[in-house]
Amino acid sequence: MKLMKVGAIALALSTAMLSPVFAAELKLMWYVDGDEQEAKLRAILDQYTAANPATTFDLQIVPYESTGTKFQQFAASGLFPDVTLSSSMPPIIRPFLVDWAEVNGPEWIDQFVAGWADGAKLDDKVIAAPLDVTAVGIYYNADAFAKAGVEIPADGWTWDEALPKFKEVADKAGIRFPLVWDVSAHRFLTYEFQYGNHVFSEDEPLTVAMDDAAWEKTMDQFIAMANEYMPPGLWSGASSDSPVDMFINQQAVAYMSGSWQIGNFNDNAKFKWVAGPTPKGTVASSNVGGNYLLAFNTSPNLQESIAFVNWMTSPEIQAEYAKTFGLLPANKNAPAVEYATEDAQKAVVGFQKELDLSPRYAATDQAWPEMQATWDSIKAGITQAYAGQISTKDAVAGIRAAAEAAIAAGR
Amino acid sequence: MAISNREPAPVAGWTPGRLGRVAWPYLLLLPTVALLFVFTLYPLIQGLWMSLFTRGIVVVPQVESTHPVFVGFDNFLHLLDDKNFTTSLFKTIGFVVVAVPLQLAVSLGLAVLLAPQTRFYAFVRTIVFFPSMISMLIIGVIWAWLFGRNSGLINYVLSLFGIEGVPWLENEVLAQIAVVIVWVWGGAGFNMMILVAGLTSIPKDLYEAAAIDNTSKWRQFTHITLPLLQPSIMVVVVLGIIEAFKVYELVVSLTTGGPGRATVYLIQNIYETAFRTVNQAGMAAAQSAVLFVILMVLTILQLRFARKRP
Repeated sequence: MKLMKVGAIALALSTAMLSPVFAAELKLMWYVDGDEQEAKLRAILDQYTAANPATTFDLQIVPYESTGTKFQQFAASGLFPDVTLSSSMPPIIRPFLVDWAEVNGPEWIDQFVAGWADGAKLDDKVIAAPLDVTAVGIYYNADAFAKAGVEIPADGWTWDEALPKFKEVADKAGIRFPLVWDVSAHRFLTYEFQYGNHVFSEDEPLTVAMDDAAWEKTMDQFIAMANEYMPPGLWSGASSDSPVDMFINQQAVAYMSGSWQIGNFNDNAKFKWVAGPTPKGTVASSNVGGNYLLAFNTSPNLQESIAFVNWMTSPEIQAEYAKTFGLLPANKNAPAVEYATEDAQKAVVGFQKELDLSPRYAATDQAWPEMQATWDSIKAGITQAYAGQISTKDAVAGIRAAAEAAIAAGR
Repeated sequence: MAISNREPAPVAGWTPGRLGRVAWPYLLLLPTVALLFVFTLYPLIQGLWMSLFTRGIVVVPQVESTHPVFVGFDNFLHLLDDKNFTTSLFKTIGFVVVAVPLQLAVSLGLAVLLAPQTRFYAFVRTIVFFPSMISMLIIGVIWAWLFGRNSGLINYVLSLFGIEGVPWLENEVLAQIAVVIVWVWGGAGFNMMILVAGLTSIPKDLYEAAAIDNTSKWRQFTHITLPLLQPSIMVVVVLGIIEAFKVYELVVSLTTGGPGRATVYLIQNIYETAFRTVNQAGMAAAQSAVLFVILMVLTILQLRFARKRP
């Protein structure tokens, strides 16, 4: 009897000690917009755990802006999470990233949208798994256009044609501002793209491909547009006005942002809104962006991390993820997504079309790792030029210097 | 030469009891010294050491571009040509020169006004002290909402009187004034408490004697209150200068350094140099060293000045 008791205790102890070996709790670092999105994400993770009971998740939500600092901390300590969401792969973490070309074969990356997939490549390696794709574009307050009796042309218009119409709608519909625009380097760069300007060459060897005079001219145009059509001071870099809040509160006729707002407007806008067509300059261009999943080769749960990332980037789950968050799937083989509402569906289709029409540099510029060290100079340049602290010539020179320094620093 | 015949006193042996008595104070000090070394001296030395290298904020052995390269004092020499650094340094000095005396004046005014030890004044003092309990980051966010040009409360109230929206945060000069106002607002309550404590320690009979001599309230203030409040004022000034040189969270949440770079002060510039540029952590460390020297010199000067006064 005593022997049996001892045996039972030993069995229980050994089971308790061994079980963690077979179960993996993956540490995830993610960023979301609010509790509602976090709940949606947790539901997807629960779905994975239901199918793979041995894998659970320790989800750490961080602000998007702090991911760069987090990566520095991880690299300094050598302690990385198992999987993170990220829109870039800074040099200090690259040696620790799983090479997906080695894991899944070099062709694996070809199933993803080309521009965003290019950003995952580092020489002959693939250091990230594309998760979703975003497009920069414009939203209109359709109710205001209808009230003003102004039609949004289905086949698009130029900025020169659109801006006076925005003003007319604002005047007739009693809306404060014709246009609001996210104060971000990424969104400003889209305007440069629309006039044929970009930062880097589209192919190796990587060089700075800026036509300084053309950049200056476009920046001058942008500042003039901001002064005439946008809320005063919006682009000073100090304004506390929120463009998205202004649009959603019907204080602006048009809002230049991106596809990631679809879910927000779908849930919160109390008026009829439409996405696009985005006015063009000399060319039509969006700006390719999105998110990647990164797995780290330091992970004690490497196999589970790889399995999870492969699941997340599979066509079916990408479609589900894109539908849940109102995003565009990065996987080209994802089944057609049926979004929550007709407005959302139209918006996604519209943004997808704008991505397809964009020149190649709208994807490659952001895809170069060197762009990560250039964004700040773009924001500083445009806000300082707008505030009249420097000339647009100096602003463009600053952007060029940062881009050249990024190339010189190497990878 | 007289030679003493006395035998030298025998050296007392290091008995365990004596050793214990001598060592005990040092043992008691050890935890504090250890903490001071780990959290203050070591980072300080490490920071100074970093300033002699070109390097990234993080050194990753596998990433060659992050490896430190010894450059001696080059980083300090380059600071002279670094327009962002010199501009932010002068802006910071300007901020200190304006904000610290203003905060002292406001704190002193509040302290004199609210010094009486009654329940009502204690209640008002508590309310005035509230902002000091809030993080400067939050204070910045709150005031950014208030100062918003197109959707801020202040401009909304002004619009009710037909006054056009004021670009509080979008105009270079107004933005700097806004930062000063909010910084003073955020810290005046704490300083007021220090000064109230100083005021209550001034003997009442001095004021009674002055009143008997028909001394005016102003003369009482300048000839009794101010001289006897010197130690508290010195504390407020020293703390104020150090805090003002380190102003950062408030600016980031209020103006993010704008318009343009109009309110980028030294700490924000150091942060941006270290974390937002490629391999410039050594330059950032050099800027920090300059700030350290400035604060050290100012503090020593102020303490010496305070000691010399009767």
